Amino acid sequence: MTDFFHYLTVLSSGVRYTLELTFAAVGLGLVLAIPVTAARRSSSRAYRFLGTAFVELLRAIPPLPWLFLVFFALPTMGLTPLQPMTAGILVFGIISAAYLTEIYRAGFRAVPAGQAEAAAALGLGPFHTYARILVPQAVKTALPLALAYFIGALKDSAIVSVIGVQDISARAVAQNVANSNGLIVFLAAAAIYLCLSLPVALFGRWLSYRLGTQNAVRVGA
Amino acid sequence: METAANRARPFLEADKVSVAFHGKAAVDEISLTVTAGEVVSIIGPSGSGKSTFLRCINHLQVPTSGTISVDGVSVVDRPGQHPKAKDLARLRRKVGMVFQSFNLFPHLTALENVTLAQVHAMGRNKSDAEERGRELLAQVGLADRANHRPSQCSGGQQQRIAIARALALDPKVVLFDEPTSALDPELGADVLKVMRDLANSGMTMIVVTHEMHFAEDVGDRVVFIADGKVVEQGNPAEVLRHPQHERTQRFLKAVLDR
Ligand SMILES: Nc1ncnc2c1ncn2[C@@H]1O[C@H](COP(=O)(O)OP(=O)(O)OP(=O)(O)O)[C@@H](O)[C@H]1O
Ligand SMILES: [Mg+2]
Repeated sequence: MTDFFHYLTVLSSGVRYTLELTFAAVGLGLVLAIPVTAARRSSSRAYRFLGTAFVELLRAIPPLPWLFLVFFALPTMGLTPLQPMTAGILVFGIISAAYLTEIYRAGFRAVPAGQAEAAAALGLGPFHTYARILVPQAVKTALPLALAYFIGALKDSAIVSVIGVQDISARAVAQNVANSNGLIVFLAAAAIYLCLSLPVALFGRWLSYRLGTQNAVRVGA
Repeated sequence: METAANRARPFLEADKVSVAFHGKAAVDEISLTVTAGEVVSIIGPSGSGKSTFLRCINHLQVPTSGTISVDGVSVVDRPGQHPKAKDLARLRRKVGMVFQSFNLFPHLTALENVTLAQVHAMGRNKSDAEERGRELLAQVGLADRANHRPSQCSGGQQQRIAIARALALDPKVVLFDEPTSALDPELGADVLKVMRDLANSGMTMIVVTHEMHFAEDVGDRVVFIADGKVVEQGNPAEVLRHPQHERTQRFLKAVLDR
């Protein structure tokens, strides 16, 4: 048991990298997904095609090949090698942009077509239609999905250990090699991931509940 | 600005408007002229193209061919032309619309529903918009609902909020697409009363409806549409009581027998 707590302490030093990577990547994805969503909802066929191609291409190929491509292959083409962390954020950020684009889309699809029509009939321009009418309603559907995606990204970020980011998993692998105490080491790693994911998952549940019932709750005059 | 030239011309003029979906005509060369202050009821069987035609008037539906001008504004002079955002905005300032399913913004209060476009489409300042909003909510009998969400209001109240919202931009004409068909008769009565008051105040209105009493009592003219075409139009009492065309007779019989 003391071993378990020892490893917890050792692996905890990787939490910083796991969190940094996940937050930065998902943050990048949240922003990048906006122009991609705009392209996919555009009236121009060419933009729609580009948006869809981006999403499908990134989703069709697993993260690992993308990671190797950026980290190992680009430098062979004469580009400056990236820091492992930078490469990880870049790859996961762009991949999460693709998934988050789908999540934004689900959010907009959940808003009845009559909402955009009413906004148009009132003479609202595209900016106010999105900012005041569509986005606030789409968020209700998209936010819980985005949180679930965040948890997934937190766990999947483990593969950046293969390019040398010293995250939780990288440290667990190192401890296992050094001490051949795999069971306890990886249990400790699992416990840490659980501690990180569970609060987000619970928050997500609470949030969906709140968003779902918001309209039913009487706010009073 | 009302000028003599404007008044002499019909206020709203639809000229041979057609809409085709997948090559099939939903609206087939409908022409309609409406003078200022007139209340025109459009009746006709389901799927005859009433909504589609109505939506062409504020360009929610782009006509396949034909032109429409409202109070001197026409957004496209030739079919297929992409309207300029400025012209579209000008058109929509003049034309209010009330939908069958209300389409209120569920995340906003009644008052916010009524003020939003005043601020963001008209550029009114917030306090003027709120003042006007409260005035309009009072006009439709809902002063006490200002801070309620649509979901906290009955269907009839929601539709009256939607009417207030449409009136908030001081439109010159209001389009109604079956405003009471989603409502129980009792709730619909409140909505019809608001519409009657509006008609009496001189508002130009085009109303797609199945409410024959309303069409006869309040309307100045009834237009019967079937299969995307105007079959018959005229004085409400005449069209409704003594229809000339067999198709109109069949439709009215079906409606009255129900
Ligand atoms: N967006 C669309 N795409 C394809 N077909 C459409 C579309 N909108 C309407 N239609 C078709 O056009 C025809 C006319 O529809 P419209 O809604 O204008 O009829 P309506 O007279 O308003 O009927 P109702 O009384 O049922 O509301 C119908 O056959 C309908 O299926
Ligand atoms: Mg209709």
